Amino acid sequence: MISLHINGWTPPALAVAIALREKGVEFAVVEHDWQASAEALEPFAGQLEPLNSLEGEMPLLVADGVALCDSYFILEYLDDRHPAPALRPADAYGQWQVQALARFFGERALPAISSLGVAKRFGGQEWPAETVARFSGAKTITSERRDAWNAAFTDADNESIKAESDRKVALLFERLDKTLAESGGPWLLGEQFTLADIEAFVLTDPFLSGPLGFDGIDVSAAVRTWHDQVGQRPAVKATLANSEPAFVPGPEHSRWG
Amino acid sequence: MTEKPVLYHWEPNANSGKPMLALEEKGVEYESVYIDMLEFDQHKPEYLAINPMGTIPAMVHEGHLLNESTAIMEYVDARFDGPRLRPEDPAARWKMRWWMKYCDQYYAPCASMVAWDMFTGPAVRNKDPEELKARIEAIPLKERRIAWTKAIYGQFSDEELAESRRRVAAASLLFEKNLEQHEWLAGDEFSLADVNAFNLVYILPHMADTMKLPSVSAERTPATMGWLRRMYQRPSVRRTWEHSRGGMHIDIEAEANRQLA
Repeated sequence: MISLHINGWTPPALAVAIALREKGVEFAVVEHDWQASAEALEPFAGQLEPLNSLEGEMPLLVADGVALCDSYFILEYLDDRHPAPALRPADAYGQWQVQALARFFGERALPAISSLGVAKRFGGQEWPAETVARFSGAKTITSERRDAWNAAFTDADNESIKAESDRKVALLFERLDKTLAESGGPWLLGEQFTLADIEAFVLTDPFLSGPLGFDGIDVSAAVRTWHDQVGQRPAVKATLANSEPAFVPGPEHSRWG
Repeated sequence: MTEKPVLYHWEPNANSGKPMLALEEKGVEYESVYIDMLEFDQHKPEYLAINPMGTIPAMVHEGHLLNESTAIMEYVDARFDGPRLRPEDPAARWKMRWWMKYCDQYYAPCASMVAWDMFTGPAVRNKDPEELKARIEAIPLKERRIAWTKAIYGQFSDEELAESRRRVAAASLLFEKNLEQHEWLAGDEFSLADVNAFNLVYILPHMADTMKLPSVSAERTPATMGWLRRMYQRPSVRRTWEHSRGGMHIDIEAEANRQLA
């Protein structure tokens, strides 16, 4: 049985669960307390990738004896491993489009949404030293991840990061609008529902129907219609029905250029 | 017979080198257009008419503009006939993509910051100041404008340069662990991950002294040195480097025959 390890229903965790249900693949969810995120990696220390993932500690999908990390690559794995129904176009150019979008989603949008989610969840409070120490002393995570958790405990309300995140979220909505205008909809790439729709849905849903505000973000009618249509899919409904949205420190904002 | 792709690239290394080497490995004929990054050719109107983002590399094929060098490589493997450059096994393919991202978003940007600070910035800094200012203003993407400004005027802080050096040292050790276990980055089979990483890692043994960056060396990372030698022995590297206009400064023969303990 495939197992999906999560430390809460973060956007990347939701994306993997939605893809599994779109594929009709049975899976078990193993939910770890977010405070145990670092310890939860210990069983996977035999592999290099899960302990060095740039996305964060979870989600991890354990399948065929391998612990797969980094949610977009898990989605591509699922589409490679379980080809039907196809969630990427059959042609090379369409596949390139999905990958180019994924790069933008993962590198620009996800860090921003994670920062805004972390500000909401972790900000404005004092964290007990024991909680902080579970990350600052953890050997299973990299120094960048220790820094990311430390920043969540001590600097979640950083105004310049919030401003930079708002800018990137605005870029996300702009890009989705442009992509839908170019393809003509109903899905981001046109007639076929793809991994890009899953990724974009979990990134926009916290603003459109979840806990994050979006003051000042211009959301077009086309993007709202698209979001509603994705939300009506049985795989998406089933996933959202059993999950409380959660945020943990996400990937680093690009340091340079 | 499909149409010949046109590839816009700089020297056959870093991001430009990735699709060049992938095309050679696949055995695809392509039209090469050299864009001189140190002359800011990528921000000139002629090029912006082709790629409005003003980034290199970019490929034009069958009426489509493709950018993002790693995604272009996957396109090359998916679109053309030739040897398979991505493993068939889905888990190995996942591993290939994981290591490419590790290069693209961690290893390469950190090595590149050190190289830009010590090479690219100084190489263009002696141009006329007004001309430089105009050229920076012509860069379409905000992120790229900031990157060039920092490199040209030497604005990287000591802290960020030290952190980049630390990360290159850490990443080179993680690579070493992977290559101790496998002949190629994604496992037993040569793949796009090797193409990707070669374009970054080849220079590191030569940066130790000039750029004060100890990372890949016979003493520190012997498995990586063995992998580099296997890469240099591939005919595709020689063909790709023929496109250089003198910026590579490395003797391929010596690298392909390097004595390793």
